[in-house]
Amino acid sequence: MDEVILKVRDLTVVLDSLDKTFRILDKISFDLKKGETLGVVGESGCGKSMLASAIMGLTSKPLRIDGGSVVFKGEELIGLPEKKLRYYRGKKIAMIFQDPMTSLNPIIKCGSQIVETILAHEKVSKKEAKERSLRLIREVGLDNANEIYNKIPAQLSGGQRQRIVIAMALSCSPDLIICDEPTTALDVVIQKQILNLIKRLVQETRASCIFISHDMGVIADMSDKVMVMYAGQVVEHADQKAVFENPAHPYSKALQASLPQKAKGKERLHEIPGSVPLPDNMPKGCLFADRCPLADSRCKEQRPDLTNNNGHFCRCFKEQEQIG
Amino acid sequence: MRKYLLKRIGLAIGIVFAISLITFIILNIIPGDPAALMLGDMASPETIAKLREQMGLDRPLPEQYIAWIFRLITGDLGNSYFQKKPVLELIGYALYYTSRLAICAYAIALIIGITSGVIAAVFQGKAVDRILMTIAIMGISAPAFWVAILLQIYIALNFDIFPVSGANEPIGFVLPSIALGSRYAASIARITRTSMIETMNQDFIKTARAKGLKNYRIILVHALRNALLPIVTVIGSDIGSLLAGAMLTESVFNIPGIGKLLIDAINKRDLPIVQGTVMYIATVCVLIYLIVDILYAVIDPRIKLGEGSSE
Amino acid sequence: MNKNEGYYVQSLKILKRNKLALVCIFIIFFLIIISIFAPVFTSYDPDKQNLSERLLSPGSEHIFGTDEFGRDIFTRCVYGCRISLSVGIISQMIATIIGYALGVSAGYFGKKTDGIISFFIQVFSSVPFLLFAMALMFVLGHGIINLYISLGVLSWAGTAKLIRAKVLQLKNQEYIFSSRLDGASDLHIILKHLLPNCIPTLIITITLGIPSAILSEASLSFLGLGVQSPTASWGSMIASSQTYIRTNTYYSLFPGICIIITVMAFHIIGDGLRDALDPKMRL
Repeated sequence: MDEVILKVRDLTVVLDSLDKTFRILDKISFDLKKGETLGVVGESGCGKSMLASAIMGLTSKPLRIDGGSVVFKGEELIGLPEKKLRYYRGKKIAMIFQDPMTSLNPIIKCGSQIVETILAHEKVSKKEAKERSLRLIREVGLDNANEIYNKIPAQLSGGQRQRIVIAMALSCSPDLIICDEPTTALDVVIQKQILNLIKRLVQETRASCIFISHDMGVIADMSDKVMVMYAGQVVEHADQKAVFENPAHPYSKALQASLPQKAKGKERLHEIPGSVPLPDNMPKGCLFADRCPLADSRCKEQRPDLTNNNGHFCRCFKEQEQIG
Repeated sequence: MRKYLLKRIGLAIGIVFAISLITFIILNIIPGDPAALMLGDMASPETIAKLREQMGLDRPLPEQYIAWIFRLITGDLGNSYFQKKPVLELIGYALYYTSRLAICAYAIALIIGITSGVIAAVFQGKAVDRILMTIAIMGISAPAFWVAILLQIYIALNFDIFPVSGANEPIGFVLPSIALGSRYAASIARITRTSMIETMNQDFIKTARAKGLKNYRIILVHALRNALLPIVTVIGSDIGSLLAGAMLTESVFNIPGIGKLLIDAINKRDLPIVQGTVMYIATVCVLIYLIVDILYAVIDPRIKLGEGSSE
Repeated sequence: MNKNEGYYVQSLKILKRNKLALVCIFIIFFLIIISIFAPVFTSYDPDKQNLSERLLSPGSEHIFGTDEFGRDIFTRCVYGCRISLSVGIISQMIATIIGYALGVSAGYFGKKTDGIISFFIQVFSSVPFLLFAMALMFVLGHGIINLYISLGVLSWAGTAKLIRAKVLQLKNQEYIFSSRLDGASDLHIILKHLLPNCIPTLIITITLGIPSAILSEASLSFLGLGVQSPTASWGSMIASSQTYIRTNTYYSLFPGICIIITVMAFHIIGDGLRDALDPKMRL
């Protein structure tokens, strides 16, 4: 349980525009142990999905990885040639995308899309691959596997499609599964089913998981550890319990206060004023200062560092003052 | 699907009728009397009047139109004034050459166009892309008949295996096909590139990459198959101009196809051939559009489900 | 209107970044000047025969050489430019007026009007264009006016189709709806509200329509169905050069190069304008 399988250090992604480069991800660092699930939370535009792409080396122009390291099972992935990266993608690290409506190829049969993944990585016959695909389709909770196998994505519902995407991700028994907002595009009822499915499969396969969502409730449900991101930076990173029972950063507090069940009975839903700053318009001081109820003149002038308080990381002057 | 088919076929028939009407109106406001033209300057007014009656030219135009339509439906396009042969027979003979040329040219165009379009898209923004797209824009700007003359000057006159004119042997089709095909290769390359780039930005391509598939598989199986769908529609809409272009190319290489038939007929004012050829080609085009539309529905599984319209 | 101004300013900015398109705009501008002031650019008469100077190679006297009647090829290329540009521009004007009128009517009035016009759009886009242009020229006879007409009346369908789609999309927008409620006449709405919104589409269709009209004119003239001889046209020059390909290569070359440069310039400008005016291309 203690083996660290993914070690990310100072991962930085920039966006090249015509005359300037903007930092989209700013020195992200974390460790992920075997069997552990890391929840990554933040509003849209915080760079969560970018983190997922960067780990898999899927950033494409105008985005570019500008330093840092991603060590997976002892091998450095950054700078690895495509050919070697391909071995990890799909085989060792699998990804579940946000929108099942667009993440499956619209004109290829669902079954073939799973078979293709297996054949890309393992030396098995087509027949074996097909049998395994059928088994996977059943495993993700779709009963009439033979029928589903021959359907194109348009013939399936959103929930069914996401199950296919999950089956595809599991097809080569990966060590790490990255879920990029896997339920955002689905109905509420289906969301719950898919979440339970992912949770069960992650536990069964003992894979590690990076679970990305903007929904604090889902994150609380899914993760062992939580990383809160804001405008491309990690603002808080600790055990799930610590973040939820004792949030340190004002942004984490605000995110929790905006949760319906937390607000129930108390006051009306809390909302965070303003929006995430855009890359071309970053504040000079703390990135959250403009929206923070606690911000003072120092927060607007200087940027705080991520400080460690017994394994509870937080990027806030106010918090540091309290401790120090 | 069946409803769609019936509707599409109905529309095609309607279009052919409208075209026949337009053709008839255009060609019958023609100045000059075909009967007088046929008989020459020496003929007496009586003989001309007699011939007019024989040809039905003395009857009112609507009546003539209806008579013509009925003959059309039975496949009778009339007889040439000068060659004294059924127009359909002449067209059939000429079409043998024209269709061969058109098919060869388009096959070349598809192969070169799609390949270079894919290459340009894959290397988007790089030198290869720029060079290919510059050639492509030159290709769509050069008139086919001029390219044909250039090929005659620089290839046929220097290499004996390619004849400067005539197409009695298959080798004779090579240069005309290249001349005619170059333009379509260029436009197909441009469309393929745009469509490929659009497809490559879609989510499912990212999925394919995340699955660890090999690049060639991502490009050829995942991207190209989706990118080809819009190209199929273009193939249909090219047919009309392809046949017209074939006529010009034929005239450069002196191939006895539809082009030569029509231009000779125009110069001699041989109305039945002009009318028949225009009608015949227009019908062929409408028919091909129909086939392409149906094919599209068959290729794209989404249309079968009635989802195509929302895409 | 302010919003529209911002739109064009932004489009202009994007266009300015496209250096190739700017060069092509300059080329077209130059060609227009040449066409208008043709006699200033050459001292020869384009149609005057001089049989003692037949089929000369390019030299200091005749920079492009002479043709089979001893006429200066450079001069004929310059005058041919007049024909090509005027046919391209005027025929596209005709096509645009017809296309806009029919497209707007179909989109705006809908119902039966739309049904009939849409059918005709279908008919005219299925018709093999050059074939019908040949038939029309056969009936109307040689001449530049007839070229304007034939190419104009046959090429409106594409414009109409795009305008119809655009109007359908605009029709239900609130400000159009509210001005209808205020009792604005149909004509007022079509000219004051719909036309300004259709301008970008029209600019693109015209710039891309002109080169295809120029190519069609060249093809028709090549087949002997264009301008009346001895009037110089690039297409007819290429046609007469055919006899001399063995001896006088340059003769076919120059008019063709003229066509390529002109058509290519329009295409590049058209592509540039599409990138600049189509909001979809903007981030």
